[in-house]
Amino acid sequence: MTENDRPVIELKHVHKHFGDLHVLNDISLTVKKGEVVVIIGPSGSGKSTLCRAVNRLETIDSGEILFEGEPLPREGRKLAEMRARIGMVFQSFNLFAHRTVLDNLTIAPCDVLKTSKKEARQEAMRLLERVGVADQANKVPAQLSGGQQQRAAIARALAMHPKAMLFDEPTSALDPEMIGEVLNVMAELAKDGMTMLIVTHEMNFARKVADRVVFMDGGCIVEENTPEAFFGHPKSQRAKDFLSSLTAH
Amino acid sequence: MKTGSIRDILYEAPGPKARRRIAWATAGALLLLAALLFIVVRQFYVTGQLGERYWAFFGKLTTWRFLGEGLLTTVEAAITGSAISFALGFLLMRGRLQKNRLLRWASTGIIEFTRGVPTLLFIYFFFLVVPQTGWKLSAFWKITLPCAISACGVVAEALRGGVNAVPKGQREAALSLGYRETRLFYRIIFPQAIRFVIPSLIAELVIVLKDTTFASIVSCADLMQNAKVLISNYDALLSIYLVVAVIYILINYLLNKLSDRLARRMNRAGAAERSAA
Repeated sequence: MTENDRPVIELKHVHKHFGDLHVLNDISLTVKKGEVVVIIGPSGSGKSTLCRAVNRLETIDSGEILFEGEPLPREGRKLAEMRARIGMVFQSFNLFAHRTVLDNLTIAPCDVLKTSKKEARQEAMRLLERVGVADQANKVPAQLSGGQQQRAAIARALAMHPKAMLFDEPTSALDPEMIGEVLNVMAELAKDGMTMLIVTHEMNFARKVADRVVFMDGGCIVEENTPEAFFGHPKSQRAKDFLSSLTAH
Repeated sequence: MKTGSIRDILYEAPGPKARRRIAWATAGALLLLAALLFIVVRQFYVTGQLGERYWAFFGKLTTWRFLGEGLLTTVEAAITGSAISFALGFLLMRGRLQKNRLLRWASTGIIEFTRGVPTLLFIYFFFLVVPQTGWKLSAFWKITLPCAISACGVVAEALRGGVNAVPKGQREAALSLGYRETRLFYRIIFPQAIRFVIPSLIAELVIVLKDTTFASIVSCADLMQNAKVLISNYDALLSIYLVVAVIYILINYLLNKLSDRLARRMNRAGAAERSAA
């Protein structure tokens, strides 16, 4: 096994129920180092839950989730340390509302990683530059557009030097004209070799950036393939129906 | 964007007919008020309450100094009492939000108890029961402590409301960055929660201030107690109560104004946050 084949995220026979709903049904999935895996599927298919389970924002009923070969700790300091190594980007940005954009990027490195204030600020400015919101550094999140907030949120996750990034529908809350700027940042990140697990409805993005597309429906992984194969010749009827429903209008 | 007042939210802008009706109602109300004032002043005059002997002593410096000393004690008791109730309330709120069931139940019990029992009972407890245990308290603490205890449950619930009002995404974001519960609370949740509850805390300060008027029960020389001393000195009940009431109203009015201003500032910040989310 070469360095690049090493799995970063590994799910083995993961099950989860919300009451009667079998929201994750025997999910097994591997994301290798540097790989970009995009999860698509109708709403309610369990894709967000899957994404959130990877850093244990959702607990699972059975099965196993490994990060960099280690099982996800269940609680306490170990779990927090593991989460610090996994970046997460949310649908609703969730920037800390009482802090400036710059503080949003420095607060966790200073509090959690014990980075010096000065170092954290330099790194934060570098990252804000990279995602193109450096000029907004001293504003509070509410003063930014949705696209700017989401790019800042990506930078906040990157400030922790994560080993992998989770994106939970990062563009679903955005006005259409702002989706592109966020996807561009994500595509850049993919090109730089970041390991990424992305839940999204942006099919063009999936086609261009993904190494692998995972199609989920009813809590199951129905199909898993390269983007060319999946979008060109979907094998399952459910995937065909889903894709045709997107292009129907 | 201009944030509208409550009135703008509750009612649509009045039309010409409604405006005329409002004008008539205003005129009527003013007339009624003037009549009431006239009756009161006339009654004062008829019963001799406007007589010189009821008002002359307000020209003396000693009267005002005496009232001022009382006022100072009142303010001291209110500030100390509030500070203690905020601290106790914070602890109770933390207790009520713990995972540990025993802590949670204990905190909930204390909160409900202090919210349910009238302040006066706590004062009698500190006045009559506590001294029997040999715990020697000055008059100041005999009024301040019960006022603080009586308020702490309400403060705890106000703070809890603020904590619950912070969107849960804030917590999830912090968790995903590797925060653990305690630091997450102090660094991310509480600084946002406190902004929601400052108006309620100031309202509670007003209530504590009003509760301190029971100080005369424990012979603590607050504004009310000193007013009572003046009353027996000069045999002038109405005029002195009137002046003291005005002083209380002024202080509480200022506090409420402060609360309004803070609330409006918070709302503006909050509205901007929500519209962007």
